[in-house]
Amino acid sequence: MSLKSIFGANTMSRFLLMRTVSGAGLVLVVCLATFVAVTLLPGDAANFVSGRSASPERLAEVRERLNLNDPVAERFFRWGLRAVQGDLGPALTSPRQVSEIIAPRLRNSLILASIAAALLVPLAVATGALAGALAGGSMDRGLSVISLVLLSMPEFFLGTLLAYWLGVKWHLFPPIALFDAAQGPWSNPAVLVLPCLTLVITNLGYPARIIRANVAEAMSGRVVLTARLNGIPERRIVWKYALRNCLAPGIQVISLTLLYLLGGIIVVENVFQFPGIGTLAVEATQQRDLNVVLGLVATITVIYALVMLLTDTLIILVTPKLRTLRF
Amino acid sequence: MTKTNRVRLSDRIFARFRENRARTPALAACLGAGLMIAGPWAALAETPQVGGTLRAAWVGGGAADKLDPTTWLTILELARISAVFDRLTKINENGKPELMLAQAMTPNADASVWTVKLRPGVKFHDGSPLTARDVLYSFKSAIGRGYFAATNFSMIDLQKSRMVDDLTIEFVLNAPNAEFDRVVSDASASIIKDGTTDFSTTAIGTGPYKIVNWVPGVRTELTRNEAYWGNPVALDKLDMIEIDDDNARINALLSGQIDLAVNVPPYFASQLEGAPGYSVAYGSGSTAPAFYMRQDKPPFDKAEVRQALRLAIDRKKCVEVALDGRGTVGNDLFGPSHPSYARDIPQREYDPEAARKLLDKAGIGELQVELVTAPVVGMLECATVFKESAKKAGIEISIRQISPADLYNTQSVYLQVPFGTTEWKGVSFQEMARTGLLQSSFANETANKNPAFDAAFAKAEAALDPAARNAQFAALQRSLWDDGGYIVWGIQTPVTAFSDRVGGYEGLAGAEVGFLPSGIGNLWIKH
Amino acid sequence: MHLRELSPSGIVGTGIVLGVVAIALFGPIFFSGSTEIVGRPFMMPTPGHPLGLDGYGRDVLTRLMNGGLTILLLVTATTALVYAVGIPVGLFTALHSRALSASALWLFDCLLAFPPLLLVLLLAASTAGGVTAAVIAVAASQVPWVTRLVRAAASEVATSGYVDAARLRGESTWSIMWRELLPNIRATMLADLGLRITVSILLITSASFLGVGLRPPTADWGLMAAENRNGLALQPWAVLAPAAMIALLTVGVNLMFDAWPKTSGRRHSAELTENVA
Repeated sequence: MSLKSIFGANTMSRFLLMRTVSGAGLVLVVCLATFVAVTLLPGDAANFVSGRSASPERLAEVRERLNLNDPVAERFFRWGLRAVQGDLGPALTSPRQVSEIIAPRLRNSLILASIAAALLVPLAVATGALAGALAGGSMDRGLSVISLVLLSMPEFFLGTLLAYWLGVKWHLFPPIALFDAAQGPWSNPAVLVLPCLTLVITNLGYPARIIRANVAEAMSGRVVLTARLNGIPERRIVWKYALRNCLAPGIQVISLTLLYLLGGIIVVENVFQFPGIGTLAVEATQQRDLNVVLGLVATITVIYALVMLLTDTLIILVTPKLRTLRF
Repeated sequence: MTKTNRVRLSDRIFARFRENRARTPALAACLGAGLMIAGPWAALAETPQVGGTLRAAWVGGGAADKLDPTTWLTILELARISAVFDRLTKINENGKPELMLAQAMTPNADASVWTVKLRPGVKFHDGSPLTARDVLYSFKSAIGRGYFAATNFSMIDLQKSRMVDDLTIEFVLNAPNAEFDRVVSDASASIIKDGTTDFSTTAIGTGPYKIVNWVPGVRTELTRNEAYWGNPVALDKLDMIEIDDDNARINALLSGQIDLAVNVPPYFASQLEGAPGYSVAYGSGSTAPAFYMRQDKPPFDKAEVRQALRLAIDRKKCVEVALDGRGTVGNDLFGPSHPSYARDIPQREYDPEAARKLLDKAGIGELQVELVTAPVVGMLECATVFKESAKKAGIEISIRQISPADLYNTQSVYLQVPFGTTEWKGVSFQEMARTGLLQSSFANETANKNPAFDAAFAKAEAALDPAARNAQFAALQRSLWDDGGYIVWGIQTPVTAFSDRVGGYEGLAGAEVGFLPSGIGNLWIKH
Repeated sequence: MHLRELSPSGIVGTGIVLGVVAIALFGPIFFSGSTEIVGRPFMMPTPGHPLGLDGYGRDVLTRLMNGGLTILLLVTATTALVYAVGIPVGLFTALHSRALSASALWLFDCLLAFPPLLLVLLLAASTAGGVTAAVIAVAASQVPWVTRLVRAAASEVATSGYVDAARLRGESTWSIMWRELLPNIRATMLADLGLRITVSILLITSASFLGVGLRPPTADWGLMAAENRNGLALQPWAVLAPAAMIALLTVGVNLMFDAWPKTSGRRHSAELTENVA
């Protein structure tokens, strides 16, 4: 029975299948590369666990416990098998399981990132479309200078300023995200305000600029010119022709921005001491807890692959000429 | 905080800044004399109000955080130990042992056998009564678990020590020890329940607070122990929160997210003194920040290198910069507020020329070393001063900065790196030596493996006459001063900052004598 | 390209960049020596110290003047590394769209799964860390973008007649890559350069903030802004001055490179950059 007979001639399903396979491959390769990098370190995990002055017997014992004597391939295979079931093995610097440590942190980060994205995407589309529709005008130039300045600011700098002015000086929002990692930020939603604000401001410039460029391009196109000549109101032209035309690049830009958000979150979480995967990544790095680092890489890669899959699917759905294309 | 106050905050900060410069000598004079409180609102004596939640921030050890009272490494763990557990004795503000769970501690004629009578009617958090069995078990299991206890209590002969009755223990010692009532004040001598082996989720003690919830590296929620043998604490709830970042800790305090912050960077003290609604308390000033050189790792195995580095640090500048002038220069020794401190040893001065000569003599010439440190209260700043001042002696110090949580991480940094950073809080020379200078000491930061030193120390401890004992301790301090592995550059005045809602903090801030903060049970909050 | 061909914003941008680079290059000459500790931490500005002192009691102005060179060097190194890998691979895969090229591109794409700072942290965790690891990691996170861009631009050129003509003349792949393709995609590359430089500056600065980049007491604008955060309330200049330099540099670079494609008369290159980046 061929694949084609399972999925039929439906190009959409075939496309999704190919993308899923490629995404899975990506996760596999990234995890393998990280696993090897972490394994080939001078002094293995046993050294980190038991300290450099540990006796040879203790080292041997730890090595046995962590199965460090088995071949790398076998260990990766076993790690992968368990990882698929959500078990990322034991942490090196605390008596807990890696998945147990990552899960609440990941949820906190996802909450933060989702709120930031929910604010960021409409804001970027609105400012980008506005500037693009009025390309060359004073509004456009003003917005472009603002977006440039925002692009140029390191996240930690803006975060520190906001924490000081809005948190310490004016007492508007908590400058530190103090809440129990296990309870989650909803136990004190105010702690989300400043990290979200920082993420939105520093990540707004890039997608807004690109959407602006696309809208400006569409506005100078032949379709819009014809529409204008036919007396269709400008507002309708922007919405119906210009924006629709840049839907596909827009989605791509937004998905990229979401991935940038995932990176920006590392800095922002550390500025506000937000207990998410960003602070965890830094803690694990500093403590050389390589199992946690590996677990984080695996988790983030899966998220990346999912976002990419979703993006590609959306682009196909909104672009009529791609919908009928054969892959 | 009213609006006018807010607007004028910056002016006030600046004014306070200048004022403090003028006040520094007076502050220095207060060192060792106990506590100094600044701010017009602070000194009012008030009766504690019962109830309320106090949120306090400490610097902690991250996910490696433990509840076991014998394996502590950070001040957060120490503060929690003193909240949850009691010992037989504690060291009071005057540096003297004071009875806690013991009702009496009596030595025999040569101080080789000590009889301890326990306070009757003491109950553990789970309601079970405290007996001599628990005390014997606590020492036995502490020694068995290693860490500090293995050496600190090595004088106890566990085979011969015995329970006389339910409330009486007879401690038989391997060698006479005239200071055994000091020895058992150590955090590792916290009394746990007979048979306890698991500290992975909670801990049961007899202390003023009970653990409700513990998230390692994040927070510990504590509640009042109603059945406490002393006066029950005023607070309904005490939240001990871990905030390692200095900036974050201060911001949390200034925005009202927490009520108390320990280890405030000295330069912040002036800002807080100027800010209405906050008070700052200065501890008794016997905390000794230091750099350690491991004598078993090159180039620190050469005595000349260690001596040269000690001469190559500009201590005055360190105190000025790292402690914002709130402290005194150190003399490579510990415990200046204790009677055993060797006061006759001359103060070591900054002398890059002498350092260079020492290195030349040892045939080293240019020296390059890596110093590992973290951004906690003055350490990184002093390392920077050190780097700068050592250049004049032809020594190139590169600084490796790590996170505060990593400083005492035995898996990566602590006792591993050849040239590292440490801090000893308020301990006397003998307490410090037991914990960190004997061959078997757990915290042997300088890899001091010297049988002659150990023997001389044992001899000194057995001396019954305090004056003779201190003379022998002084001789040992001299050898440490001459060619040990420590650079104690300053004696620091710990700064603790509070919102004005907090009462009863004098004990917590002031009791930096001995490792444990003893005043944690006196805290209360206005509501 | 002549200066008069630049748009006004391009001129402003070029001016800013030249100014910042001049400070970075010549600052150390005119403000040599006294990066030493001269007073109490976070002292407010005085006539002798117009920008006050930092958290270690060092003169902010002197450190500011000495702090530009590192970031310029690091960014240059990172960008050079990115293009040294990205251009040859991009050109090669444009000419040979076979399995080898496809798998090379796919492997590069795997790098995109790492948020750049996670890559920096990972490299810092698995090596001794330090600024070399940061530079390599930041470069690695940029390489896939440049490769994609070069490939897209070069593919377009490769379908034009003169590459085929060169092939017929018997020129080697190597020579076609350098002599036919590269000169024709220069404008596209220049349009992209601004973004790469900005991203590199921000990432390296952020790495220093996270403690896995430059180490104190290096005088560096990014590190200065990060380590003096604590004193924002006491002595804001210690943070604001270096942060302003970074912002000036990135704004200037953006203005400057944004203006280039317009003057080079190849409009499509701008679109290409934006669609691929």
